[in-house]
Amino acid sequence: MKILKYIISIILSFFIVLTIFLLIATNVLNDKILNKNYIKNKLKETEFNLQISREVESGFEKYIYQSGLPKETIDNLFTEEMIEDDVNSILNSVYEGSEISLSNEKVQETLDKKIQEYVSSQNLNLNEQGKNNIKKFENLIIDEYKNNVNASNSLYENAHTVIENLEKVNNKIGKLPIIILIILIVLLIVINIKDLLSVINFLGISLLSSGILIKLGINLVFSNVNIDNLVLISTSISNLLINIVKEILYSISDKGTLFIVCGIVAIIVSSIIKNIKNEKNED
Amino acid sequence: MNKKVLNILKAAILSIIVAFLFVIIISVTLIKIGKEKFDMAIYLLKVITVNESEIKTIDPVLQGNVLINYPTYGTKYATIKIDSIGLELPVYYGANYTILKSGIAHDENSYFPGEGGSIILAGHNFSSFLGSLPKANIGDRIQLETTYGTFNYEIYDTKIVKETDVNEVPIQDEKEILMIYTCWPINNIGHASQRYVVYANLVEE
Repeated sequence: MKILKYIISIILSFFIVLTIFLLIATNVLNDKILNKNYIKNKLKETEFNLQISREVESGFEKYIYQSGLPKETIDNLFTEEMIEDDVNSILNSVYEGSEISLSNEKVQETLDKKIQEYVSSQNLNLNEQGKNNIKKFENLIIDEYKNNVNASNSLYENAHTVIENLEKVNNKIGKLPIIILIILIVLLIVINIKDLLSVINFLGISLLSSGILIKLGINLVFSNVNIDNLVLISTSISNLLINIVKEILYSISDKGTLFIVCGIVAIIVSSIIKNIKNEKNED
Repeated sequence: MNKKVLNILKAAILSIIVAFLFVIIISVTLIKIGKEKFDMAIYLLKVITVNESEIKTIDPVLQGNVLINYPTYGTKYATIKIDSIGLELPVYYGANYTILKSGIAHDENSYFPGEGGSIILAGHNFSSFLGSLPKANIGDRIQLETTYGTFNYEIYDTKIVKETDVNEVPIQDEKEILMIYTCWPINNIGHASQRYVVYANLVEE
């Protein structure tokens, strides 16, 4: 009977380990990946909008030198607020599937006004070819704005599909991991009702093995991939991705450390108390 | 006292062994069912990761007409001089907008000086860059001082071509021809849809 109890407790502990993993996964999903506010904070932390502004300005510079127009033509074509609105629009499209709307029309208006002012100030008499060249230049600048702010339409569309699917899975799972964990712990207590120290010991075993597995997994990822050198589409997106991936991995790793410490403490404490109790019983 | 500690240790070690057994069982199971997916994920992450240790710089050396060790992309490897128009500019390997802001760009699809093929160079058309290129005449000399030798060329033709007409700057390996182009017209306003091209032959001296 004692051996059967022990075997059942071991099996329950094993399932507790699996449930802990499920709990961590849903936690990362809810608190990080599916949390729009978390991503918004990360955008702020990585100065995403500022990076985008720099990328747009650098993109404009590609064309200004060969255009024959003064460098000031591409200065202040957009504002911080415009970039913020555009980035929010992209974020909404990723999380809610809404259409992306960018401020390119405002940029074009400002650019056109500046070019016309320059042409008038220089008394330039443009022929049809000259007007076409200006139109082409404006289109290139606008494309540059659109391509830098909305770095990849397909990436954001795919991101929305992934988010949508993850949300479906998350909604299906709901609070299932925590319910399963409570049931498993209750079962463990019921089986070892006369020996609650064993319950602590088995929970310690579960925590210790979860912690070791987490640490092994995280080390495996870090030893195979140099997260700091991830490059995806643009500097701003790469920085954001690096920041998020690192934070998720470090937070899981911290949980692993905590589980290992708690597991060892639970095992040692339960062993000490059990020993003291046994001694008392022998006396 | 010793027996007491031993008993505690025994119980604790037994529990730790069980914990490690769990680790082994779960690891083996995960490796069996998820190894391919894990490897694929690691591979994809590696694909989008820059490995800095792979980047190393070795100076180019010309052996016959074969260049050993190409310059690193984006680095200056030569200076172009056209004495007749007072032009002297750095030449960088690779052609992108950052390079074009610094000097003359060497189209990475073309050959290097001394390799015996088409060498295609490009630069902006403002006065401090190639703005004076159209002033160079047929018969004028162009010198390319590279890190592995000096090469002299003589202009034999100039052309104004459409920006899309890549056939006017063909890449071939039969004869060493230097082609330098810039946007045309020089005082253009807006997008320049034409290019001014200078063609020069290698001069053996």
